[in-house]
Amino acid sequence: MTNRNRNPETSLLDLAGEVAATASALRDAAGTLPGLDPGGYAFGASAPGLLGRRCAALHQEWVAALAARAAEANGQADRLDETARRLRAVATNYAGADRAVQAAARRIRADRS
Amino acid sequence: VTGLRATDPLSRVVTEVSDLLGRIDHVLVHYGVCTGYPDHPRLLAALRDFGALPGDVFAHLREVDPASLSGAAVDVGEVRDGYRRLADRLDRTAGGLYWGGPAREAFNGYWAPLAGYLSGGPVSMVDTIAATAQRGEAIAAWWYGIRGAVVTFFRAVMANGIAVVLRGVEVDPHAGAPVPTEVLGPELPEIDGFDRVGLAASHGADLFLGAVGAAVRAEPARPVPVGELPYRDGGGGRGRDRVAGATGDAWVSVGELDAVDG
Repeated sequence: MTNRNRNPETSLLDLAGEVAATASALRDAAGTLPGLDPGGYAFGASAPGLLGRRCAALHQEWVAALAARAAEANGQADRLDETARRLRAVATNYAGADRAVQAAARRIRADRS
Repeated sequence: VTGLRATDPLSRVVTEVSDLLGRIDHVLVHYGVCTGYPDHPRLLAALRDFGALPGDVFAHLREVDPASLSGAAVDVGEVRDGYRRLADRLDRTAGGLYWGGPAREAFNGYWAPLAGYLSGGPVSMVDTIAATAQRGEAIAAWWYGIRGAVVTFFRAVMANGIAVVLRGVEVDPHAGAPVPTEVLGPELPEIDGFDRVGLAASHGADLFLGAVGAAVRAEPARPVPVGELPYRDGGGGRGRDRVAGATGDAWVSVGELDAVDG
């Protein structure tokens, strides 16, 4: 991962949102990919003999490749969703700790006054 | 006609090829393979391989539209482009993350393989989807190669006189055995009692199945990864655990809190 086009304004919640949006887009892609099979007939798999065997094999390979790409997209979407969840949890914990520290500081100031 | 494009050389001769192969089939059906044809064992083997007469083979292959396969490859390429845009946006966002300290370092160890799996890793989803698109294009090119082989065949039979000899074959199925009404072209000799038509049909069938067979047996370029790309987090799962640990109080310092907006 390179840091080109850095955006110094990014927060954990920003990143969590972007990660979740990427996961959603990958799920959409995973749903689209199987539909990019034009079917065995388009490959020539209905032909008899040598031609049909070769075309059927190529079609099966195409279907398997699309299924593998869809599985990759779904798997990555799962990982990104989990990452977004954890990033939000980290952000929440930081915010909670921040409030606790501020409350402690107020108590210390109050005790000193 | 389905499967034909103006830019495809076969589209310009498809009717003539179909007509010629129909005559060849007709002769083969009625006379069989001409044993006087020197390469008739090869022709018999090719007929067995294809499981169909040349005209039937052509009927199947002319129905395949390589452009539809090319279109599928283009669609997969658009998915690849989408992945690249997603990876770029994610990269920009993560690169600008305002977060430091040990928790960030732990996150970096988790994030690098995760982002690299999508794009930029040793082998990424962008790589596998790109390879898939390229394979689709290669299969379309393979089909254009088969169609090109038919054109090559047709040029050959026009040049060597086979097409001329077969012009006189009557292909009316009700007409019985083919009787050349007019045998044109003296190029092919009579062999062992088989007339020029029988010899021309066997020779033509051999040329067609030989040319198409070589193109069919050729392997389309660019093998495709058909298995799912495995995910490796670079630390046997420790990266994920460490990020989970970052949610614990022990990982939070006041300095880090200052750097995080809640």
